[in-house]
Amino acid sequence: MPEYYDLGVRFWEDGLEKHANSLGFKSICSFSKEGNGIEIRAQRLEDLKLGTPGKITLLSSQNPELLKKACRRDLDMLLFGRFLPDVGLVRIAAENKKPFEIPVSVLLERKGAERALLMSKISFFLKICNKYKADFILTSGATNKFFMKSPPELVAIGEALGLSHDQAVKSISIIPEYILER
Amino acid sequence: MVVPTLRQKKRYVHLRFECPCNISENEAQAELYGALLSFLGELGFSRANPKLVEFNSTSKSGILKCSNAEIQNVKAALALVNRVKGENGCIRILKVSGSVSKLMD
Repeated sequence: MPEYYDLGVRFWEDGLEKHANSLGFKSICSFSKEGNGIEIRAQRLEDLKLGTPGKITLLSSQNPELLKKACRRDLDMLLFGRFLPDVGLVRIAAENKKPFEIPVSVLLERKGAERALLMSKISFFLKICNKYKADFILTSGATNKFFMKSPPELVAIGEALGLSHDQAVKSISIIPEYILER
Repeated sequence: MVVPTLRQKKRYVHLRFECPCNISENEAQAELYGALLSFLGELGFSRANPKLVEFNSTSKSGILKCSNAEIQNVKAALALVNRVKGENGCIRILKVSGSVSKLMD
């Protein structure tokens, strides 16, 4: 049985790791002051100051050109908030083995047609990732305990986004494990 | 009486509401059906054929019966709930099984 990881928690509180373990995760990465990850939000190349060694670095940007340049730098994950099907970006990310983060919280924050359209965008983005063999990681992106999802729930959401069962499982087990060991 | 081979294959989902508020069986059913209907649509809802079999308002947990073929979609629909009775909350899926007795083990 694979071991599951949630590499996209956006908050920290006492007993968080215990709560994550009770949900079925072996380990989590929290992008907060107390956590083991750093999220860099950048719009221009000049804003790009890469993180502390020993911490998982996530670059979050709406600018695909910046993400393309950042792929060659020392960081662990990419978050392209617009989920546009930029083939160039996906190919460069695949060549440099930089996985994309797919936070489920972006769906939770939306309702109705807005959620449906975003699901369609993410679904197509994942299809392109699969075509060019770029890695992706499904994360909860949780900002509170209610937003944290268990591994079977993340797999179910992954399947709703058009992934196969194996792809969804891989995206919360093998790929995050590889990032943590790196 | 339907021949056993023609009967729809079903799954039972053991779930729990995690929210600060109290919730009755009727309210739980409304929340569940609302979440499933909004995510699956009317066609998906009819295929999933959900039914709240049991609900305990003290532990806020219950058992939802649904079609085996649509179980992943039902799980996704329940996982995407982030508000219960207008307050922050979620529906946690505890276990999925083919029989009610196994859920209680």
